[in-house]
Amino acid sequence: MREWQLQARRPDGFQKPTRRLRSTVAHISGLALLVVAPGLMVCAGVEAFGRGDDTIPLLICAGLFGGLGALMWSGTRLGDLAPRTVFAAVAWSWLLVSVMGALPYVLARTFAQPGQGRWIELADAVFESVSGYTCTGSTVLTTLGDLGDPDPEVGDGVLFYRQLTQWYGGMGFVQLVITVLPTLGGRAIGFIGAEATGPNTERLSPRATDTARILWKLYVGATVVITLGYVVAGMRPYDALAHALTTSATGGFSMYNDSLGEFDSLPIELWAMAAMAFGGSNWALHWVFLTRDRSVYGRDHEFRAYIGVLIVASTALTFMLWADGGYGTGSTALRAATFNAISLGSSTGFGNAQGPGTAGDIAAWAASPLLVILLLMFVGGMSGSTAGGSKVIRSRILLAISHRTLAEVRQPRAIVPVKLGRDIVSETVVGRVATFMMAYLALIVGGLLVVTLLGGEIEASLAGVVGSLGNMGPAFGEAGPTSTFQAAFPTPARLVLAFLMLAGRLELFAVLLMFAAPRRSVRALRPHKHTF
Amino acid sequence: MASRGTIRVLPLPFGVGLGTSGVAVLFSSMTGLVLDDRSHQQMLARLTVVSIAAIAIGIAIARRQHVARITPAMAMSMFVAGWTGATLVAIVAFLASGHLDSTFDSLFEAVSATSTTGLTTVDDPQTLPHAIRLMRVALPWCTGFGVLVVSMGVLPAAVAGVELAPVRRLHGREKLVTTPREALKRISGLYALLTAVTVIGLRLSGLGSFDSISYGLSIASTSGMSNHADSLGHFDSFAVDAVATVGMLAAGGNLLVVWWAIRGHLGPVLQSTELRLYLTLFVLGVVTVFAAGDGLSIESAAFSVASMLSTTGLRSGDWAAAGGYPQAALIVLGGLGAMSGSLGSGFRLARVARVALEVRRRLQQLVNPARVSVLRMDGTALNEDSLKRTFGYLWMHAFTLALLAVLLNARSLDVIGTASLAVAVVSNNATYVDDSAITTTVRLSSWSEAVAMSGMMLGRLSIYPVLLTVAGVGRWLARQRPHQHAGIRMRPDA
Repeated sequence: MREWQLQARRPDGFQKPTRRLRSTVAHISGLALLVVAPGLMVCAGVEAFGRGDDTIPLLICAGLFGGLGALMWSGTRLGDLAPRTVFAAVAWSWLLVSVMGALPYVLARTFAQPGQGRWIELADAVFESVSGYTCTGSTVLTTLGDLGDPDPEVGDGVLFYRQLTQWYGGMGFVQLVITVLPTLGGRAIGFIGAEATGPNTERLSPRATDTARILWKLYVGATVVITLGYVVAGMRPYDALAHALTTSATGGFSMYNDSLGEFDSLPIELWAMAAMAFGGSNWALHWVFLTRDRSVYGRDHEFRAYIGVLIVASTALTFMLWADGGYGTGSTALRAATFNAISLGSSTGFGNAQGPGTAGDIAAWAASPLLVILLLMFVGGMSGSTAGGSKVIRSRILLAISHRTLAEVRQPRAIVPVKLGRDIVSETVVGRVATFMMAYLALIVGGLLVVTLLGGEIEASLAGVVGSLGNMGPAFGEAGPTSTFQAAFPTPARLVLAFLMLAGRLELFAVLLMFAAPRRSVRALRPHKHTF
Repeated sequence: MASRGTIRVLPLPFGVGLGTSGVAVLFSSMTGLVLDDRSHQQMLARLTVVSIAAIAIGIAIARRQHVARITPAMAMSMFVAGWTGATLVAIVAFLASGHLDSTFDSLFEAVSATSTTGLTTVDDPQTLPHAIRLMRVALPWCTGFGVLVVSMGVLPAAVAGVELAPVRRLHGREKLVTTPREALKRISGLYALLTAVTVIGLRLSGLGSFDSISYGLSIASTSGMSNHADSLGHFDSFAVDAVATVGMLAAGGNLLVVWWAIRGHLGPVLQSTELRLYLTLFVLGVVTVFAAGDGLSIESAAFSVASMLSTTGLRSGDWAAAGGYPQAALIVLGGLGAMSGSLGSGFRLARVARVALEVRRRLQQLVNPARVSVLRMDGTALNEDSLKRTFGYLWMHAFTLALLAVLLNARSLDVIGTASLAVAVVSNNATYVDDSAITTTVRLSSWSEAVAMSGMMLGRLSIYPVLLTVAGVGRWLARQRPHQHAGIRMRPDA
């Protein structure tokens, strides 16, 4: 029996002296690297049997991930599990995996360009990796091929790895770690909460580990169903799987230049819309719907608001595009508007443009539809989903806060609770949401100033910052869906955007706390000054 | 709200609004009689009639005063009533002048003037007669004064924008606002002093008398209305820019600060959190905009930052052509706005400081969940309820901004143009970005102009008063209708 199992079974809490370092951060980070390693092996297999010659670099990466992960995991044990440490552990795991995730691109020289320095290549690789794991979908890869391309510049395995990064990031690899780490027990819910999206963490089972398992089972199941749907709609099985990985994760990476617009197929787009809307809604609701309660969607305030936002945005965009007159018939406007509203409302970021300037190319739209898109990017999907953005529930609560303030100004002595429908929202949640949204806004403004200061053009920077923080994908202007971020932003600005992606995926606080917990650990290691 | 008491106190501010605007129009038409040629005499006569009628009606209505205990909600409704009265006179005056292209343009110009915004539909204001040019700056000066009195005297207690408590603590019993009469006296004195100093400064720096007075009124009221298509950039003078920069900074500052400074309490004045934030943002803005701006001189950067931060909107250099960062920074500064207790608009720096303190406290609580702390600003504990209201106001402000940006539907503008126009109308700022160049002239459809007008009104009246008044008046109207009990037929004698 392993040592951690023995420790877990000691009823008196006594722990056998061990030479392993107590570090929750290193322990969880090591396991996170370990769970990603098998994915890299699969990618090496794809590369070996598909088009490309980067099998060895991918195998080396798998070895590095596995070796370093095993070393960190076996050399450490769980320590302090206070909330700040848990947040920090999750944030450091994400940072480590995202940065290490750049290795396959670096070794395969995916971003090598003539006349470009190695540092820029490295920065591009880190950007692509962070964009992948955080399910953002922004890219700097300028060498993506077209559908019928017989000899693509980037190998199949590397492209598949790019898709897989989003799948790992969608439900969260720390949650995956929890499913294989029984020692956490009831404390696992803290890790789930730190990684999950939204203000509340829902338990689907009395045991937190089981909650993580249920969510991952559902996630895998959904990916399989989405794959089958794409095949039925007309995709090749390999394309279907690759796109399903990023659809269920609401990531938005595609292996082709024009994203889903490459297929120019209405059935594929319809299926993608349904799948994206599914991925952008709360996965706990899906589980309850499948197992217990068929009316759960109708009763959920946030789900109703989410669907309402998508319908209103699609209708408004259709009307705006149709009124503009430059996008063909009404049906073309409807198709472009609905697809992009759902794609960005669910924070996926797939595009359906068949080239620059076509109806689906949001970068070519007028200001008003773009502002609607910007608002959709800000609001994002539901809490507990794989989607990004500030979450629909928070916007609902903010509206309720404004309404409450108005009522209190009218009747200063009244005590008015914040309500969602008939449910009263606790003041703790209200305070947390208000603070989160304030920090979110401050990051958008700060990010915009920094990115423009580093040389970004203002319109692209605004959409880039909102999109990166909301893990959306495409921006406006030169960073639109038919282009890449490489042309729109200088390298330092892209690194700032990568940081914002991480901050957005971990909902800000984890990233802010990642520096607080290690500082405390270091302080605890120092000898006390006042000993006897 | 909208109780019988509220409805009965509304005639007073409405009448005052009518009268104040009437005085502004009368002043302009009298000046026009001296400066404009004979071809404008008919127009001047019409303006004179409008102004005298407004003053007479205003006095008649205001005399129907009903004294009651003023609640915060009532004060807000009074604020709206006063502004509505002033705007009605301005609309009639612009229509009577007959010098604007359409009725809608007259409406826009009037709302822009009385909300101290300064956006205009006139391409070249120099083609207008002197009387109308003066009216465009006198109206905001007069209504700006009303805003100042209300915001410093009544609203602070209600809308958590300005807290006078720290001021009282710092200066014992020596506070600016004591009784309404004394407040009016002191504020009008300070306002007149600020205007006079600016006018004299501009005259000494080389401007003609008419332009000095016009721009002095414009700067003191932070309206940004201009006599020239290129605004102050028309003069291309360092001295004019320098005087205007200082004037705009002073007008965007809290008049209480000016009062303390005059009384010799400079030390405590500089300890004010809001003032320090104001000055820090100014210095930081100037340095970064100058450093990152492509071809922007330091004086031009200082002018632009003061203009946007004080929500005035006068222009000297074209910062929009200086690159992405100057655009982003100046639009953000315009959105944050001036200090509370000033004529400037925007979100206000007092609120920004409170929100920042609250966010810092919440983050500290995240690290130490057991931590309990009281927020202090200027040595005084902040009221938790007022903090909640500040957050509520912030979201209302943000929602308004977002909604306006979408509804503006300005086809001629790009995303940044539309966003900057939305920020400008809500912050009552005269400048926005059109096709990578700054401008104050709007070329919008009637729909977009209507949306912009509602934005200017919401921004000037701090959103809540408008919402409360609209809701209250709706409720009052509903109460006036005979009751209909569904399904129950009432007996005639019941």
